[in-house]
Amino acid sequence: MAHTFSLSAARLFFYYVFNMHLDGLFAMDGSSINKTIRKRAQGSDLTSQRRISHAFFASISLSETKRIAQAHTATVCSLSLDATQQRLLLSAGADTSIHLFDLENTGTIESTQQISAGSGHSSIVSSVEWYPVDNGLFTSASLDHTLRVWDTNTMSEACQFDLEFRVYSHKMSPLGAHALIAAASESSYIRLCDLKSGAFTHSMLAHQSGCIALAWSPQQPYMLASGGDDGSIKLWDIRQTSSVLFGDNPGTNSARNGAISSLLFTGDGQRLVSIGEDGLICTWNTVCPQKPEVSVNSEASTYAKAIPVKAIEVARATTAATDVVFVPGPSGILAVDVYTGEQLARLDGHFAQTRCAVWRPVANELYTGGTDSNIIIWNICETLDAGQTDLRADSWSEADDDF
Amino acid sequence: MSAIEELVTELVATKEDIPDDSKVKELKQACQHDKSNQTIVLAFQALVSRLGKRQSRVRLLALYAFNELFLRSHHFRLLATNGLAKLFELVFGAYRKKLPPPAAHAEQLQRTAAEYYFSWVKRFGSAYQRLIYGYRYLKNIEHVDFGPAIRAYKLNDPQRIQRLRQRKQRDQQEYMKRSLVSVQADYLRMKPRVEEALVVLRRCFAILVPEIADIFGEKLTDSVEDVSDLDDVLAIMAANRQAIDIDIDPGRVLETEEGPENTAVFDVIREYLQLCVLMYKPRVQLWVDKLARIDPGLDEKVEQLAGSAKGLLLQITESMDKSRDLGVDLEFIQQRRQYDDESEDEFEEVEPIIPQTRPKQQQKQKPRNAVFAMLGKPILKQDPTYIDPKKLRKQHKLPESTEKDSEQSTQNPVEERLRETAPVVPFDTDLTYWGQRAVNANTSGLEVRHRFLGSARDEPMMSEAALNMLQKRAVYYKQPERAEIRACRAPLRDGRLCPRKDLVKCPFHGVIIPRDEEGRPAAGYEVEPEPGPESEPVESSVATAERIEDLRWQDVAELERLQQQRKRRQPSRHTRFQANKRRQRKN
Repeated sequence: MAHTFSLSAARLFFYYVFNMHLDGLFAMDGSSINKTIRKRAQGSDLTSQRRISHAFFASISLSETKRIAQAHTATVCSLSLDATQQRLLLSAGADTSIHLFDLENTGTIESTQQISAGSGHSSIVSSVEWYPVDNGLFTSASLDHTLRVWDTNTMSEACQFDLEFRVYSHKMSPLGAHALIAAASESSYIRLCDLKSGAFTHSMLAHQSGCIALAWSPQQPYMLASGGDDGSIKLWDIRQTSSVLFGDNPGTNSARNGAISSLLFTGDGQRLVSIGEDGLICTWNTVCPQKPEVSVNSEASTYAKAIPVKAIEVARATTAATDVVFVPGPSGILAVDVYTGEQLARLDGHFAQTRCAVWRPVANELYTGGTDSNIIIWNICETLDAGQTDLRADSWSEADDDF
Repeated sequence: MSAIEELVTELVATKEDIPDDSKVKELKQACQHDKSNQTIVLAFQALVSRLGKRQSRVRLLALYAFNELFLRSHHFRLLATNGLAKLFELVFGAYRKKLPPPAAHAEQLQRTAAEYYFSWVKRFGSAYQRLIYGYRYLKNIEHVDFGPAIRAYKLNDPQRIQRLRQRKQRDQQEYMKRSLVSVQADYLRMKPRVEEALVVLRRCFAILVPEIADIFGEKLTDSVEDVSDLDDVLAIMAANRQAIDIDIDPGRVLETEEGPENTAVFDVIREYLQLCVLMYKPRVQLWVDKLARIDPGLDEKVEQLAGSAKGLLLQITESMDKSRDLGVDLEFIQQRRQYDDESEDEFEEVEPIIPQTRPKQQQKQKPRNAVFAMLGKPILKQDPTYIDPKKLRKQHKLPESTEKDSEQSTQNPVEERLRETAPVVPFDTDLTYWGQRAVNANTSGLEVRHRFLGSARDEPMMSEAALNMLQKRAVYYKQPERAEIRACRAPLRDGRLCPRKDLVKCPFHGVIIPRDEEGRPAAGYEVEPEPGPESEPVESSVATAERIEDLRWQDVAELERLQQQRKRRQPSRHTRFQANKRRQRKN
């Protein structure tokens, strides 16, 4: 009874606030219902908050005062910001190098440390990630079939996992409850590597033609989402034997073709956002993911043309009102509201496809990397210094004056 | 079509490779005077459309105008940086686009675009980050060659030019300062000497040529003091012709010639003049030249110094002129300069040492050979062209020849002496042709007759070269007799015989001795073993051993005495040790 009541109320509210026609049930457990009721009681507040957030994100523009020095000479495949201080940025490129930047530096941010091209991986580094607990370790996966663990202080390899297949992406659970790294490769198995023991724990037969995207739930340490090359999405509980919680195949719920480029959980772990190669951005409810709640059509991407990695990295900015994801696309970065599907902004600055994005809440900055080997910083409302304003003035010479 | 459109069309319509300067200026002015940025927007759009034309030459012209506006207008720059990707496509052929024909212009377009873009990045990059991102994209992904652009920028970099200019100026200043300091030091050092010389010369001149005032007394000064008013003086001088009487007293003709009384003075003059001419004048001239090159604004001393140096120079030249007038030979002094370098005085006269020839020893006069006076002399053995006739006779087993010594005395003494040195050789063709100058080359004796041309040319004569060759004798040097080196042939362990061919001693088997086929030494030879360390000390009368004990002296008592003496001289080990310690403690 209470169940149906809350359901109808939620649906009504949904119509009112979001102004969208949705079929689908979403069942929530007890604690979140209370939260939602409290939230909805301040409905107008929420709208205005959301509108403020939207305005905020819409005003993001290319930073003229901050710049990251040139580091890579080929595509920047992956960016990772450390969770503890949000100060160190790792970038991995197709030129097989990994660079470390200290974002607190003023002026042009130089690469403080690096694993130079050729000294680490022997092929394109498809993804790099900080150890979620502290920044003494980071991991990287590459198309040379290895997943390597690095020590930040010495910038040397601590451990290596040989996966025998090209690794497209890897993720660790942000909660830090366990030290398992999930690796998505072109084999149909998702392999879990254990950092503590240095061995593989188990493999899960996932997607037939290879897995591309992975995401760990931010609330539950054992929930993992994976997206495959064929467009299917699966939710896993790694503790159980037959671990699939949900599997969605293309064609069943939405007209989807192409691989899943990226998967992302929202901050509360309730929603899962999937970005497809065909440009379709879908928001799923994790609790009852029958159909995507929200679908947004953006441009189809041609990721695999530059380098054979389809995985992209999506940034997520969480505010009180909403979650906004920054989706790298072929013509700029799309800022999309997860709940409404509104496109808030298109950030055009890269000269080729963008591949990865990272949001830095501490300074409200967005870092994006792409095929043009640039890492561009985007932020909101900055002031130019004197030198810059001088250069930004007209400079008609006196010779132009006289006839 | 708006005015700007028309203007741009005209601009790119030119046949040249560079657009018309006046049209570009017009465009710039139009954009400058419109404050609302509308013209700039129109201009931008127009130029971009021209950049998209399918002809590289048109694109090049449009690029030129584009660059001009880019460098000047902020709004234009904003428009450009927001559409950089499109620009790259059109101008660099980025994103896999090709630049349109003609090919030469396409290449030029790319090069010019690279140059312009690099200069934009250098100048505006810090204010427009997109330019920098675009540059990195072009460099890393599109692989556009910015090399020539970078080089051209470096050459024309205004900052660099300024830096170079500043450095040059600084260097010049430094040089001038250093020059001034050196001249000052030199001046301070040399001035007293120069002035001393000049003073001395002046006094000498005064001695020889007294001043005019002394001669004429006070007459001159009086006449000058009478007229006080300048105007009156001028009036007088202009109006009248003045008759001036000059009285020269022949009795008071000055002794300017060098005589016995003046020699001392003249010597002094010559001495100091030499100094002036050879040392001081060039030095002062050098100062004047150096100071002339220094910028007077550097230091106030420059002008002072220059003035004093010039004054000194003037005085020196005056002294030189005066001395010339007096009859002092300047050329001699100047010439002497050359000889200074040779410094003949360094060489002393040394008496030649004539080696005393000892009278030749009167040797027993051997009877001289009439034909060959050097017969029997030992020096002949070194002459490879000479063969001893005795040996020759022995070889050919000929009877001894009989020489008559009496013939010697009848011959010419010159001939005798010549015969001493003339070699004796057996008769050969060279001696038959000896001294002949015209030899018939036709040895067959046949007369060649031609049908029409008559008989053959004149008797062919042998050429001089051929005759010369005939008159030479070939001497064949004998090969030195080589002794046959025998192999060691000592038996080796693997059955062979030692193949070593040393001259005297094989290092493994000792002296090489004749052996048979088996390697056994022939009768009479023994293989001597290597001498080992001596077991017994050598008994010799000379004391060559190192230690006394090694000598086997017959006098044992003597030996003992010597030993005791040595012990006394040398303290025991213990006392030696103590003495060392004492010494160390003292130190």
